[in-house]
Amino acid sequence: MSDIASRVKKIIVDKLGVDEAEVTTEASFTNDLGADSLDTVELIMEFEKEFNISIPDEQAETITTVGQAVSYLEEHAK
Amino acid sequence: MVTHAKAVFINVELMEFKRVVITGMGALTPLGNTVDEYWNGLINGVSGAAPITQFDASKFRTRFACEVKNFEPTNFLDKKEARKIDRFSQFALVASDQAMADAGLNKENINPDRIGVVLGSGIGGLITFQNEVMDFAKGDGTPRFNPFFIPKMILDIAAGQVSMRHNLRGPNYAVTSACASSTNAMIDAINLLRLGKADIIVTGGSEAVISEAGVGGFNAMKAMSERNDDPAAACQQTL
Repeated sequence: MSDIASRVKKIIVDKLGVDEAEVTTEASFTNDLGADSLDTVELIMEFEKEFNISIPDEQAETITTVGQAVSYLEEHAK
Repeated sequence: MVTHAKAVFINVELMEFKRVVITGMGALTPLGNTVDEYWNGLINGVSGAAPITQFDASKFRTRFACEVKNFEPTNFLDKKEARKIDRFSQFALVASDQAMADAGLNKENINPDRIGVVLGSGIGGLITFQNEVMDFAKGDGTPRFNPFFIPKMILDIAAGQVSMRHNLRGPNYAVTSACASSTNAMIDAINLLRLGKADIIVTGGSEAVISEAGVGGFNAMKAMSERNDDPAAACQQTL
């Protein structure tokens, strides 16, 4: 697992209170990990803080699974 | 319009009000975390005042307060929920759980559409408000407020959280009138029950403002005792 992937996973486990084993690449924040709309906003904010970037709203809306978050951040993280 | 108002008044006067009784109680207080502990503390003249533990009060004029003690929110809520719920709402949840259990209410014997929640609070989620604004002030002016900021601190969220925990769908709102908030909430609850707006109402109030902003704010008004050497005597008159 890449460094970015493990940092993303840690944030998700912490913020959504889920087991690490549940945080698979395909897992959807809302459908599989119990996130509501505010949880997903908070997740994006945590990603921004952790990786010191700004994710525009229209991009944020396309990040709905763990895998999508990891690949977006691998591409954009500084 | 005047005639109409008069007609309503007469109508209410002739109405027969329903009787209202208290069927259960709960308490989470500086004197103890159950109704029994609270009551025994009251009748034995126990003081709930002690040095402040919730923040470093060394620079404050008042360095003691009546804190709720031995309260661990994760004993009642999962970690994720506890993080999203301000301390004043956590208190409301625990005390209302106790009251509902005392009243013998459970999923099988209630009609959630006929149960309301009316809770008082003087300020609401002041600790959440303080922390979020302090975080903002530390930044460069870019707004990065947590999405749970408002739903955590807004004053009617304690009633909302109690309603969501037990799926109660009757009248739901908050009452605020400073130190009389909980009493006013209970009066509202009685009137709603008398008028048949609900069969049961969970009512009372909660507050959690022992923070830099809370203590500093009340200190600035000179509204609190500064008898730091003897907190238990704080309410006694000095001659």
